[in-house]
Amino acid sequence: MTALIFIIFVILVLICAGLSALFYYHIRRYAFVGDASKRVFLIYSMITLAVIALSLILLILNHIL
Amino acid sequence: MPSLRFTEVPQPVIPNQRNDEVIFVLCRKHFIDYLPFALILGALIIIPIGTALIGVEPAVRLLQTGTVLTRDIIILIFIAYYLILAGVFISSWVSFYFYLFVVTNERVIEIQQKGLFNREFNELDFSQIEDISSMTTGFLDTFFNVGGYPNPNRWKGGIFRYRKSLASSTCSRNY
Repeated sequence: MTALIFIIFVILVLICAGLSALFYYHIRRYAFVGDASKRVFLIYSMITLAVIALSLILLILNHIL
Repeated sequence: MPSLRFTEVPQPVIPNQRNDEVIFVLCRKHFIDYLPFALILGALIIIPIGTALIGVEPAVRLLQTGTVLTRDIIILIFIAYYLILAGVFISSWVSFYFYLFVVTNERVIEIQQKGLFNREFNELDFSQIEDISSMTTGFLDTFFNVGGYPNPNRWKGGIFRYRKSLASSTCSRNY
């Protein structure tokens, strides 16, 4: 069951990574020099990474403790 | 005083910009257009955390009495929910931010970004402009002087004046 949970977790992360790559491509294609789009994408990436990291830590703690 | 939203941009800006074409103004939609969506998104972010904080006792009981599997499922739901919200945020923001209004020395261009994959490009030469109208609807738009784009009357006046000066210079060249 633990393996299944981690497989679901990895699938979620992969979906998120694919979507992020799509957003990055889109923003890079239509962004102008000096506009805020890349900064907003950076904020989005940071939030996403924070959520994934927090979830991973919680999952590991849940199985250790 | 020029607004900060009217930014000077390096040329070329638009994909089919002509060789002698100069971009005067590149304007994005006012943030007030995005505000209702931002508020809904903010509420969707806060509600689960707020609910967990208000109902601390049941949440703690669930975490203490629940099995490892229950807690795993809760964590997976948490990650899926917040990743979906992040995706909704970035896609809606792309639609909002890449919706552009461009004024060049030859034409007026509106680039509409509808979602991620729909992009509409409308242009109108100054010589074809006969009438210009601006529209401000609703309380917030009136309060912040927004009609989709900031200062609609200023836009209307500016484009009309430029159209007239262009027409008179063309006439004088013809004679």
